[in-house]
Amino acid sequence: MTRLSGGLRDLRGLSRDLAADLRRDALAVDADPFDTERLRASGTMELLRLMSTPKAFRTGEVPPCAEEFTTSCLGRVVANVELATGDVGVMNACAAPSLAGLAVEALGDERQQEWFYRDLADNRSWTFFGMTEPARGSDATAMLTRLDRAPGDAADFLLSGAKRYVANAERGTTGVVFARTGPTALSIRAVMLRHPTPGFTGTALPMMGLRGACIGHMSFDAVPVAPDMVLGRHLPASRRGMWGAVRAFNVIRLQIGAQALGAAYAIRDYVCEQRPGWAGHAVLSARLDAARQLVYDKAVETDHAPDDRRAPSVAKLHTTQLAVEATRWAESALGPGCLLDHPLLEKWCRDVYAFEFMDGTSNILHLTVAPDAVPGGARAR
Amino acid sequence: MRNAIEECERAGHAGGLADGLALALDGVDPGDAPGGVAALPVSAVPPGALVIRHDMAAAEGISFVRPGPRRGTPAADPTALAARIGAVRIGVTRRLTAQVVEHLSGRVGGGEPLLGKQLVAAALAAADVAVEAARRCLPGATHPAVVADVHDRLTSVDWELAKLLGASGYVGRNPASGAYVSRLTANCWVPRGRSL
Ligand SMILES: Cc1cc2nc3c(=O)[nH]c(=O)nc-3n(C[C@H](O)[C@H](O)[C@H](O)COP(=O)(O)OP(=O)(O)OC[C@H]3O[C@@H](n4cnc5c(N)ncnc54)[C@H](O)[C@@H]3O)c2cc1C
Repeated sequence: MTRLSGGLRDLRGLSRDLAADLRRDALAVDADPFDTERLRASGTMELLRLMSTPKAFRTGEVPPCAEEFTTSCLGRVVANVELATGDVGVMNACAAPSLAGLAVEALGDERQQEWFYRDLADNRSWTFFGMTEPARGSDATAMLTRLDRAPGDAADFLLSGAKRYVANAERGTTGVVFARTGPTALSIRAVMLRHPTPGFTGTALPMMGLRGACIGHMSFDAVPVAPDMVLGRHLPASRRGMWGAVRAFNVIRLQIGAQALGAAYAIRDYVCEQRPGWAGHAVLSARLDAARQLVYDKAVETDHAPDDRRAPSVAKLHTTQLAVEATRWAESALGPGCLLDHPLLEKWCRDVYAFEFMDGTSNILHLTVAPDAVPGGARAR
Repeated sequence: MRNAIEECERAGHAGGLADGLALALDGVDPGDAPGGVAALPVSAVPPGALVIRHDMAAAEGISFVRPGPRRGTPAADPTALAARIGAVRIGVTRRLTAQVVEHLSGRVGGGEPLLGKQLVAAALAAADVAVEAARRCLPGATHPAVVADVHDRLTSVDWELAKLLGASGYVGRNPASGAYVSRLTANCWVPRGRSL
């Protein structure tokens, strides 16, 4: 059973304090996620941006306990559970390096990392990570977006195709997009892109919930990509594309699992505030506390085996389902009309559905976990 | 009762939530909503009523209104009404199933249609079984908890089906948003917990 160090307990406390600030903007961000002035004006959002930026690229101070946010999965998870008790929609509106940052860390050389994080520091902007396509979701290795050499003697590449459901597709100014250079899974590459760039358009899609994530559609019409913007060129061929990004996915999968759990705690706490002294939360509370332990344990496992896809999948599978169940529990605990009487609760019902789709649907995660569940089955590592 | 239930399912299936709800609520005073918020077809909102803004619901032709305290004795049998709305929801769930099948038959994963994946087929089969079972709980149901249980199961089935739409069911107006508004509608009309 994972025990938290003093530093991590401090990080948990700090995150709890920040959660209260996130809550304040919850309904406003849901109503207008594109009010960027509100987000830029928030000191909490700025601190979260700095906390989630690796120390070498930070442009401001963070409390010492916040170091672990970027240095261990456990630190990230501890912070995310608490922050999400504030509001997951606002959390996902944070202009953080996110998955794009982790991909650049996994696949970029020193100069590319410097370029990416310098750009973020200068613009304090949102990032995008383009993997999913209109016709290719879970089966990302079958993506259709292409990265071809430009005709003639030009050293540049041309990016053509489309991505969909990508967070910050419209407002992100820097990010990573995956494309194929040939027919096999090994020919998939990641490139860094700036927005705006000629031929690159991003459009937001109206979302059911988790609106701070601002997912949208991106299309690439022969977008020029300089060779030094192609990630992973310094890595062995097997590590350059998708497979090199597995570590990044693992970290984010845990983070999403932690956010789902934090959202479930928020729902529990909200209901308890409405029904002071009521004991009807005992079962849910016990399940939430056990899930917190599960998520911590899986984060520690991932810290020890960062390429193991099973541990993050187990955590995310359990908590995404638990969060949905928490909304139903709340509905029966508060009675008829409660979802219309309590807009925050209704918003969270929509928000928690998002976790199902982010970074692996439950079917895909079950398939990831399955080989271990079958005696004698092959490991999914 | 059986006929009313069947008619409501048919209306929900053929015309969608707003059409079905119009039939289920025929003759019901919005003031009878057990929690003080009534879900109504947009066309049935009384002039001057206090409407709670909800864009997703509006897109489905549903409004949430606070009718204020009703005068006189309640006319509707709340359990029978919740059963009729349950039947409407079954119709809506069947619509959702058809839309999921259509969506998945056009998507490919690992070189084969997603509809052919065993986990997908199992989820569709489970939804089918759940609908069949739920349908048989409604006619003659007299205990509010029985009807509330049917609604809870439908909310769960709808979510399992919505998952199959992938992120396409999370953006814009889509079959999953209709199912979500169906859940909100039930939340307004199904007596449970503290209202009993
Ligand atoms: C809030 C949010 C944020 C997102 N952010 C990003 C982002 O920043 N970048 C990005 O690239 N994408 C992002 N996505 C998209 C997300 O990664 C995809 O939704 C996800 O990969 C699933 O793809 P899909 O939606 O196309 O569903 P599909 O792959 O079409 O799946 C449809 C259904 O079929 C099932 N299925 C698929 N394959 C199988 C199989 N082999 N066996 C059994 N069942 C299967 C799925 O479980 C699902 O139920 C985001 C989505 C959301 C909702």
